[in-house]
Amino acid sequence: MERRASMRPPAIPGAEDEAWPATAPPAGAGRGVRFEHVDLTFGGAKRRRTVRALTDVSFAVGDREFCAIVGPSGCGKSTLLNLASGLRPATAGTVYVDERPVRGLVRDIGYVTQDSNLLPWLTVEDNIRLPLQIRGMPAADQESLVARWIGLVGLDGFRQSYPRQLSGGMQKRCSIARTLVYDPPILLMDEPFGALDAMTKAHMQDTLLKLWEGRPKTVLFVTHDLSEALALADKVVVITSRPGRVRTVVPVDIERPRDVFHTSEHPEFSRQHRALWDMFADEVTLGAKK
Amino acid sequence: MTADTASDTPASAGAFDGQVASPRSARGIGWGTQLLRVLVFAVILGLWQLAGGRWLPYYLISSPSDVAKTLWDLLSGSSPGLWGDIETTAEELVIGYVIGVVFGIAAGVLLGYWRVGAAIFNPLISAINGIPKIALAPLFLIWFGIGIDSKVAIASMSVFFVMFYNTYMGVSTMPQELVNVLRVFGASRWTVIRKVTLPQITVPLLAGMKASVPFAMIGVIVGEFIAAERGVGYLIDTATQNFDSATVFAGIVVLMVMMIIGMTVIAAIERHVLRWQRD
Repeated sequence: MERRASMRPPAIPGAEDEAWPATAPPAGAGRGVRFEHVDLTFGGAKRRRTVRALTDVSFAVGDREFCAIVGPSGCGKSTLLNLASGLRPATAGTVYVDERPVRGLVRDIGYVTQDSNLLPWLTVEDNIRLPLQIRGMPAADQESLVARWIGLVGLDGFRQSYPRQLSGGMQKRCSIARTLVYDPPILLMDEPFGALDAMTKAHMQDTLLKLWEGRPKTVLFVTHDLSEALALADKVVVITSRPGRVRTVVPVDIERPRDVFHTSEHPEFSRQHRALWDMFADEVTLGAKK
Repeated sequence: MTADTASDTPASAGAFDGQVASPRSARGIGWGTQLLRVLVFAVILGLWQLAGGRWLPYYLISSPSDVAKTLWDLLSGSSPGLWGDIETTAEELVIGYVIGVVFGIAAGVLLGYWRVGAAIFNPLISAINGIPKIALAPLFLIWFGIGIDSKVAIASMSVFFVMFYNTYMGVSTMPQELVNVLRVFGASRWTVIRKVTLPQITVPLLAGMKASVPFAMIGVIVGEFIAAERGVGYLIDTATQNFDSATVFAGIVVLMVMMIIGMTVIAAIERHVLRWQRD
């Protein structure tokens, strides 16, 4: 039992006051993300096989809105995030971030990938410091921010540990701290809690939600877990099986602040869950037929 | 899992700061096992001592006591030459090793980044690498003479290929995920090289440096066997021709010690540079 307890990130009272220095500029207004008729095809002219990953994808995520993207595996959900970050260009159509079309890498974006992708040769604190160093923040500010975030994600005893000395959940927490530490106004998360056990997952969702409620950001949260989507998001975008299209966009009418441990008891949750699940099951069988 | 266990016992948390003793290290082995190890060693030496002159002709295998005496005479200077031989061999080893490592890394990095160059040179390098390096040793003696240059050349060539392939593979299997993470942070190309490429490449690089030590040794000793004026290999070769097996074994003991020193130095460097790999 003690082992469990040590896995758990601490409660974060007043995270909103502590997480960022008072001098940090507020997350900019109008930081939305919009997909307009986006197509994506893998494999170019030289390769024989081309795969249509996404076709005619259009939806918008408003400023400081928490948007979950769900769909069967292999439907191109993660690819949407690569498009939004500018790591991959769209074959056709346009992605707008902050009302500007994306060309090349987008500044001021945070991307939490499926794997923790920590640099294995850096300690926990050096990993979290890395984006601040790259951004040229003064050393003293780096120090206090890093210390604060290590505390917020409950890694106090592991500042000097290397990633491989941490459990999967701890690595994830480190990875999230590394992204949130530079306070990006737009946050992309690709199944960030997919590989975690149910308990750890619930606690991570709780941590994320508290941080977000304390300091709302525009979030695109990819997941294949409907309950997770409903527990966290303001709206859910359902993507079809390959080639991915937007099947539907549904708002989640569960009031905030939410308690992730008990959201499933909410009547709206069960209603939405059933509706989405029927749609989802449809997509999965469709995918299997091909 | 490791981290979880450690967090249960606060005392072991400090282990993360410095040396983490691997449970499989020699220190963890019980007294009984240690004792048996020594015993096995003693039994072999004992059998060897008994065999010389009784079960096998003395000139073939000498005996441990005579090998020890010969070694002592050579080292203490009662018989001339061994320290000079060690110096020569060590010099050939170190110079050959360093040249091979430096050029191997340089070529690996160059072709790792320069795709066209890799496409052009790879068949040639594979073809040359297919030759057993030892077969080239006589040729190198003709080219570089009987002195240390020829041994340095043979050793550095053996080391070069090991280092080249390790570096090349390291450079061409960059973790794109980590590079992307840094790009999203806004890192410049140089920052990516400094923070990802260089640390990433240290793993295959140090593996290559460790694997090359025996190759350098083989190159140098074979070179000395073929033709030399001094060196431990030369000492062994001459003693063999005189059926002086005590000196042959003494020379082999010296080579073993030199190898152990070399491997220890490289292992220490590796442990320090790759401390993040420890559990």
